[in-house]
Amino acid sequence: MHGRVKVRTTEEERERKKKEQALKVRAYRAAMGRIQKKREAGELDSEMLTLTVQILQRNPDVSTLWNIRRECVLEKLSKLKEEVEDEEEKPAQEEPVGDKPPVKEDKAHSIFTCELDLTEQCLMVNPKSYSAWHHRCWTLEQDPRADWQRELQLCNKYLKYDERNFHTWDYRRYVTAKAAVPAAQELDFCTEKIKVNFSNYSSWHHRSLLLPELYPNEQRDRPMSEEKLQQELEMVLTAAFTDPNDSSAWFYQRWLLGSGAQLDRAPRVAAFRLESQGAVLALDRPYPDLKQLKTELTGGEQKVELQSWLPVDSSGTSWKCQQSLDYQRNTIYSLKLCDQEVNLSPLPGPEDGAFYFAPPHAAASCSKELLAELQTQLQSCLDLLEFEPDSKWTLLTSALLMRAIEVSANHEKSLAHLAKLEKVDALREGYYKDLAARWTLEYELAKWPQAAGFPRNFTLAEDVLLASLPYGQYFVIADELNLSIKLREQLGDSVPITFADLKVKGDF
Amino acid sequence: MSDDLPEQFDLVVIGTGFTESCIAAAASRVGKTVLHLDSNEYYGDVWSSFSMDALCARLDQQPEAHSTLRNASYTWHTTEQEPETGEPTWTKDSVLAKSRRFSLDLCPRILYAAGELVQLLIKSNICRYAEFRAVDHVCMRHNGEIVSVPCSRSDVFNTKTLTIVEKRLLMKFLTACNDYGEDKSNEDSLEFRGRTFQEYLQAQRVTEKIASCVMQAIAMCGPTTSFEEGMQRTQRFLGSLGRYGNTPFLFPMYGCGELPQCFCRLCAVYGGIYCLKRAVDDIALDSTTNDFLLSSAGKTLRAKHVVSAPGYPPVSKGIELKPHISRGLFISSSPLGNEELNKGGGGVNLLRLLDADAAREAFLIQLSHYTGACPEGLYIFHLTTPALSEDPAADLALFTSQLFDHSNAQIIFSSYFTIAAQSNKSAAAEHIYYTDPPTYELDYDAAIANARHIFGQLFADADFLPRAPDPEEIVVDGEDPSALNEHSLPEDLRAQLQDMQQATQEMDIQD
Amino acid sequence: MDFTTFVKPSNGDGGGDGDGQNGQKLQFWKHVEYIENHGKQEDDYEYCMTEFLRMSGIYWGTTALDIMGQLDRLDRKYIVEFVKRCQCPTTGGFAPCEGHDAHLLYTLSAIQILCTYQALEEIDCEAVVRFVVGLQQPDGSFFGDKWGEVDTRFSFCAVATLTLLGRMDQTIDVEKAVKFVLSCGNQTDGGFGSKPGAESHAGLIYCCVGFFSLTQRLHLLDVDKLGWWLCERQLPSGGLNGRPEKLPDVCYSWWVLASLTIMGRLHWISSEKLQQFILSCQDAETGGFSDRTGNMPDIFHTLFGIGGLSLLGHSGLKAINPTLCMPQYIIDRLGIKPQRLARP
Repeated sequence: MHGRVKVRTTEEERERKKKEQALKVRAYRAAMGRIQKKREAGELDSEMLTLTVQILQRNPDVSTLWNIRRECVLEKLSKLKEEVEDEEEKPAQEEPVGDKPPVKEDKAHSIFTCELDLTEQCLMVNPKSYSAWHHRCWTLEQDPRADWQRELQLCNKYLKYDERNFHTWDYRRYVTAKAAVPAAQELDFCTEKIKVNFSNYSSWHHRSLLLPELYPNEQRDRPMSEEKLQQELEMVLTAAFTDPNDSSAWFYQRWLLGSGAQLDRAPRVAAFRLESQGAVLALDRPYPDLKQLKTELTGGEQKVELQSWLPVDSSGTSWKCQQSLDYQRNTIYSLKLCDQEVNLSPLPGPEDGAFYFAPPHAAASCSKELLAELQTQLQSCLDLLEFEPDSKWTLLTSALLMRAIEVSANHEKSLAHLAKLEKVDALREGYYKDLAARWTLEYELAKWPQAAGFPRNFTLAEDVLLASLPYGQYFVIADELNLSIKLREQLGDSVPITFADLKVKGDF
Repeated sequence: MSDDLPEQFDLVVIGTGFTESCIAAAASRVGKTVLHLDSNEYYGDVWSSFSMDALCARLDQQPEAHSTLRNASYTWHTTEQEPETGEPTWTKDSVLAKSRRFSLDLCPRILYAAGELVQLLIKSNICRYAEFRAVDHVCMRHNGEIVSVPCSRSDVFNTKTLTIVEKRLLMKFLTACNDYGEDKSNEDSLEFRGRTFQEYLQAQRVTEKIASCVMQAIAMCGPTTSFEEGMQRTQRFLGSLGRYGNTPFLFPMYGCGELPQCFCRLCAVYGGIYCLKRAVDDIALDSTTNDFLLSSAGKTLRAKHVVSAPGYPPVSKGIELKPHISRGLFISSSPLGNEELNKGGGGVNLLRLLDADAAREAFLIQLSHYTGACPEGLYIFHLTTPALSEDPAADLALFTSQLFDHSNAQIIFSSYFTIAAQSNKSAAAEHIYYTDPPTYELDYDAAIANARHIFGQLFADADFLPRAPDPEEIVVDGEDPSALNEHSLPEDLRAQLQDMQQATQEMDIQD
Repeated sequence: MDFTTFVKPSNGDGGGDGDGQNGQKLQFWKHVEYIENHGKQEDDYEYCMTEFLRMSGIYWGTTALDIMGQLDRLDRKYIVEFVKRCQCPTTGGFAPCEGHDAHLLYTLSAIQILCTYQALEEIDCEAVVRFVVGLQQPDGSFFGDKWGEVDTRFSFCAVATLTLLGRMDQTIDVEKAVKFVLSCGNQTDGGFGSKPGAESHAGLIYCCVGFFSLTQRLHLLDVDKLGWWLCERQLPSGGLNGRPEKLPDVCYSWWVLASLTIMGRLHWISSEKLQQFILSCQDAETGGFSDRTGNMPDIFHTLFGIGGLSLLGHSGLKAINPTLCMPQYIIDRLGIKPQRLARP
């Protein structure tokens, strides 16, 4: 063999690559120049298509070139249509041959096939190209003979390469809708995917879309029916334990343990107090302008619509109304906010008035079986903590489980877990502190109705340490807040405003 | 058989078994002239695989003093009749009728997916000649049942036999093993130096079920295996996971007999010459040149070096052999283990067996038609254990009773034989290198080590099966290594290159 | 060792040893130099191949330099002329570069550049408004251009463009737009994807949170849930990823951080460790930031690195507005007040 066989060095390789890149720049400029000229001349022909291919194969994100291809496709299709119309105008010479129409469809179909093939090639190069995926969708929308089953197979193939590619998952959802794949079948697909690789947030997410639809929860206080929830909990905890370094399963679990709340549901009455001079209303979540919602007070024969609401502060959760209200003792009042209607209780003490209070975060219903599952899970978590006392996810999840099972008995323990998490997962110290504050307030507010001064006084024990004071709006029905000096200092201006404060300010 | 054979060779290799073929290929690859002979009319010697007929014929052959295959016997069994047809589905005749669909190995192994042999095959491009099938399950016996050992996160996740806390502990343990090598100064390696792997396991917080799983099927070690050795084996297992299929193992399609042939093919590509059915009648040393003189079929050949497998006279005259491996080869019409282990009509499975004290072990390889080694509907069980005596059936009795006594296996054919190895290193002639016969191992590491060793003795400065370069990386002497090769450019870039060259030319002209 | 089946390969997260890598110091002048020189190499391969997003590239460069107080190093006239040439006379929208087609993404970048240079009157603003309005669909979503791709990124681009032009009133249907973006929310994690049903992703979350900030509707977010998911993006190295089990990337330092800032939950991540990570992504030789430690820098990551540092209060950098990713003084100058939640 003449010439020694030698392998390039990295330096030589770099040089070679640079030369190749210079050629690529030239090729790109030449092709783009030609393309732009043709476009100005309206030449949306096969040469145009060929020119765009060269660039798109290397760089599928040049969306203008896909636009041009679409213009070419539409041009070709309209020409085809003209041809067929011309043909149809001619008088029929012979028996109409059975396959005349399909010939046009074949031609059209081959135009679409060309586009699909190109997108497939481009997606091999860059499976995350928005433009390539969109072009594929566009082509299929144009094609009456779109083969949705084949597209489903394509999704399967791409998902094997990269299970986290959200483009592929989005595409899958698009295709399954077009192909009318039943949700139950998709759920099976998901289950199979999870069995093969359970640490896949995208699979769990896809699952979370199907389950509430297939197994809805009647009371709407959980993400799905209790029976299905139980099965999911079992599966997800197995995943979480098998690979606790993968957070997907733990995230999914937290969702399962939650209330399944909808983002755009209307706010509900958290607290309300009514006296002759006016009323205050606290919402469980913020709303920009309470005047836009209908609030109606009913008592005896009267029905009064409450208007002229003004915000108490910038949070959007506390509102005051300075309407004069003819409050009658011994009348039962109720308040309606949108669809929610609540009965008011008379205010204890000499002053005339009525109020309502619903502590935040009421526990969801829990069947015996579900409760048993939660308890088994809690036990497993606690067992695991003996082996891995610093496992962040186990600490957090067991705290959530404790509170899902029984808040009051487990309150202290769950806070202890949060305190530990502040150390073990120090990056999120701020989060855990705020979460501890929320849990503490939920607990205190749940106890409040049993306290002597309720609802005029609220007392927080000195030793309760808080990073912040959430749920401030709930105190708007109180007259007096007994907080430690330290906490007051910490809160500064953001100490919650009380009914008494509003009276003093002259708002009433 | 042409007698246009050249008369002078750098190396003559006698016997086309695995180790010999490796050496022949390695020598040819580095430019040595090689003649590779085998008195058999097939490749592979005792490393070979046979059709049904040929196996029976081979087992029928009377062994001679130098034979590596001995103590062979086989039996045909009648199986139960099918309830519906009243006839057994498989009989001796129906099996023999499909003789050619069998590829029965005398010395089967399985390969670690990231093991030495696989790496060697890939590196030297020999993998082009071979096809493999992933092993479906790695099994162990637990409470009298054959169970599958979890081999992936997915397996651990799906198995019903471990609690979730156990799953966690298993994963944690395996992760620790995997990370072990990276920090030799860590606590564990100091604490357990000189102690056994079993002690290490007991010190970890793992349950008994997990411990036996790791000992038996993952690290595949015994009570006396050292901590370091056990860790190494565990890492070997883990390192081969996730490459092909669900277990760390591969099995060659059509049997292990394909492997020596792959090396022979490579040898031939680089100029090696092959003669089957050609024995060496005599061998002598030429004292003046130190060359070997071999006479074969009336011709005299000269060779600088000779390598031989031990079973080939007269070259191996004087070599004493003793039993080394006891083998059992069974054909059954139903597989071992439950449905889960044999999805889709037949799992290719590996099972390691132990005696009560874990002092003796054997490994079982179950093959189905998916490996191309037998017809559909039949299964091959290969059983291997280190030999204790000249009676392979007796050596294997305790394992066969574990396997077959309470199972659904319908054995149609059973055979036993011994593979022998050298007991001393007496040389028939000086300076001849003898390869080791197959030894008791799961992969080919010892065989490759043997081949490397002998190769190293023969050609001290040469590379053993170096990596084949990619065509793109090759630069021919005289070429500018950083220049672009016009022919490997796509059309549009080639056009640009030509334009540029044209423009440069025109510029030159203008100058 | 690719040990993927028992243990997934660690996500390359260095685990916080950014000390002494590229130092904890901001290589201020190196970055200035890097940005200034970007765009001077017309024939550079990367530059050429990113022509299709040139307008955004210019916006990233000008914003980064402005945050560093070095805007005058760029040629204002040249840039403004370039922007003007990119307005499409028929649609009113802006193309990324001459010879390319107009698109909402580059329309926003163009307007951002012109706001920076106070050159809005040099283009046809009404045409831009018509372009944006014309892209809104009956369900409230926005196409990116006439070819029909729908994405919440475009919802953000639409309201940001109109806000900067001061033309949010009586142009698009805000209620419908809000409704569509809400439909892209995921109740599992409180996050948002590009379309209804899409998985939550930090980049899209930024667009949606920004959208709600511009439309004064932050109350529609489940702040605690989303805030938690966002703070879980922080990895041991201090860097932030875009969604679970992904590698950290400097650009998420912007998107996650800006979202948390708008939501009043910036204190839920470790500011110190994030700064360390961002600084470790600097290229001490050439200047500029790369996506993660040790990789090649680019102008995109440079902006978001600088932007992230500004949000974290790094000295020597002007304040940046988290909703619009532009220097705060420009937003103030325009009289724009995107909504922002207070810390609890």
